Amino acid sequence: MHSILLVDDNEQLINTLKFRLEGLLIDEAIEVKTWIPTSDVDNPKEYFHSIIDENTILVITDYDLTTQGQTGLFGSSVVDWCQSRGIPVGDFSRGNPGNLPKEPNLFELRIPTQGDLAGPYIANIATGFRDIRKAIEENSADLIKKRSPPAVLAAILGVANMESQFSLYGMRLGATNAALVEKIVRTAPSDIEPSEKEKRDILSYIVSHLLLNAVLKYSGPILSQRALTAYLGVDKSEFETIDRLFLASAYKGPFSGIEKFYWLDKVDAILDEYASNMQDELKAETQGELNRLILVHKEQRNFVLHSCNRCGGINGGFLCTFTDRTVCQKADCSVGSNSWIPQGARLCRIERDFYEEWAPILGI
Amino acid sequence: MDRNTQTILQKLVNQWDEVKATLEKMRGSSIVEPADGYALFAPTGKKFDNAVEFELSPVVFNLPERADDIRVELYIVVRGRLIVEFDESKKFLITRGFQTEAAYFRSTKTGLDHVYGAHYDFAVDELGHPSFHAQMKSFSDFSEYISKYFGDFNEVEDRVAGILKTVRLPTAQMDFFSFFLQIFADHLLHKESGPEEKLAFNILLENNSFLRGAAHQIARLTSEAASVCYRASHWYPII
Repeated sequence: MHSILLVDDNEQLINTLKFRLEGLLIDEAIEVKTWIPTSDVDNPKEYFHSIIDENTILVITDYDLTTQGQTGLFGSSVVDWCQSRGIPVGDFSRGNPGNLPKEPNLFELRIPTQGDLAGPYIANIATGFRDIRKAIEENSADLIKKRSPPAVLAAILGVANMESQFSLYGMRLGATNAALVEKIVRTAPSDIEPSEKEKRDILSYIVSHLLLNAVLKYSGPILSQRALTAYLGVDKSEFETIDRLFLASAYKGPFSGIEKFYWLDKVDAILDEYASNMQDELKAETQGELNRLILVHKEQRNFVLHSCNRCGGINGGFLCTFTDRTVCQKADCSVGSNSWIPQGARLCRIERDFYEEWAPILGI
Repeated sequence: MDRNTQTILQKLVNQWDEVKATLEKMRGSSIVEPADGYALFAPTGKKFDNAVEFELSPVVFNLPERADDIRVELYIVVRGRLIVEFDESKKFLITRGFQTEAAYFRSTKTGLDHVYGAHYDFAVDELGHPSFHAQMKSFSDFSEYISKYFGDFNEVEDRVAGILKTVRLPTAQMDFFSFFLQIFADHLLHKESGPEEKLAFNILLENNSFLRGAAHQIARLTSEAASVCYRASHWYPII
């Protein structure tokens, strides 16, 4: 049976989260285990490795683990231990949210701490990791022959023609995880052969993070709900209507429970369909405006404009990943960057004002 | 921009993504700048029935001169125009016209040597013009784009200056996407290339079929004789 391990030094909080998760995962056959680090344990690293096994699909750790006598033990150590084993790990800091940066590294997950978001988020990513692992196990003969993690991801999602688009998210993503590189380099001597299972586990670890922390995070072939409203040049408050209009383009693969996602090619096909019966030829300066005009025609009403102070919300089509504001491709509005945004994230740009503040660090 | 233009633009950006992905697969140390497809392809506003003209802003490839070379010291600047429309199925684009300009520079200890330059063009029925042709010429001033993306190069030696410009070499249709294929074939493939590089190139070849050629507009090229005989005589109009 697959399992999740929760690590926290606050008994009440860990038990509340465990109870919540067990309720959410009742039909998923995923066990929820806990570890409260106390001074009784002499070697926390050894103890940690003794309570996880090959069925551990996810570890969630609090940042500060010191209050029960394990002085010096922080979530960052647990993150390192997990990365060295190729086990997905999420961390959070409930006591002092400022202890951790908002954005994690590629092979780390940041668990939301606001309200009751943690439980559903953890449940969703756990099932996502489990599903990808199962897909690779069940089709390992075919998938292991693929050329790269993006090719495997494209096959799992049933969109083989999108391999190139996914590959633009992370041709060198494996190399960003030192522990992973070490794990692989260990097998370099000719007398050490990695087992099929070892290869499968590393592959599912990389593919899962590629999907969750790159493809779904930076909108390109798959759009987040926020990016969809930006693409359509409407305010995010219009999301309910947008969701109804683009329901047929919904992404239903692994991690789709985190929030709503949409396939860009299907969104475009729906826009084509809505535009096909228009009598007058539409013209607009930017993609966002053109897309919105199609929706105005479809719904026979005006949409709330987004809040750009340069164009008054008329343009759009892209999303600034730093400011979370809708931008357009005009040079005075945004810049494309290839060093801070994955190349595959074609709908993500950097708002010009923000870019100027940080140039040349954000330079292209 | 209208819906037709927008949809064609998406197709061009998609194919540009394929080009970038292939470059990365065939030679990780090669670079192309700028990468943003939406910034590269700009509709010029000129329309020809349903066909739309796009301009390709200059892109700079940094590649090895030969695929088995460990040094990556060649810069190729490409700029162009493409007039395209959708076919009836709306799956493929059809070429109505194109122009491509390419400039090659070799980096040296002191700067850059401009070592090759050519303009690729298309003429339906023009006196003495092969339908698809290239003319060599100097594009020394294209070095400014290399400086823009790869840093300043103090000196540019123009080794193409003075070359005879009136030679029109009959060629294949060298629109800019065809030209990218040529770049990859010339500089990223060699006899010892591995299966991964060959496969990446094959996939790009296959994907390149998203754009159909302009020959459909020229009766002499669509005749049976021309389709089995590729001699240059079919390339010239009979006046």
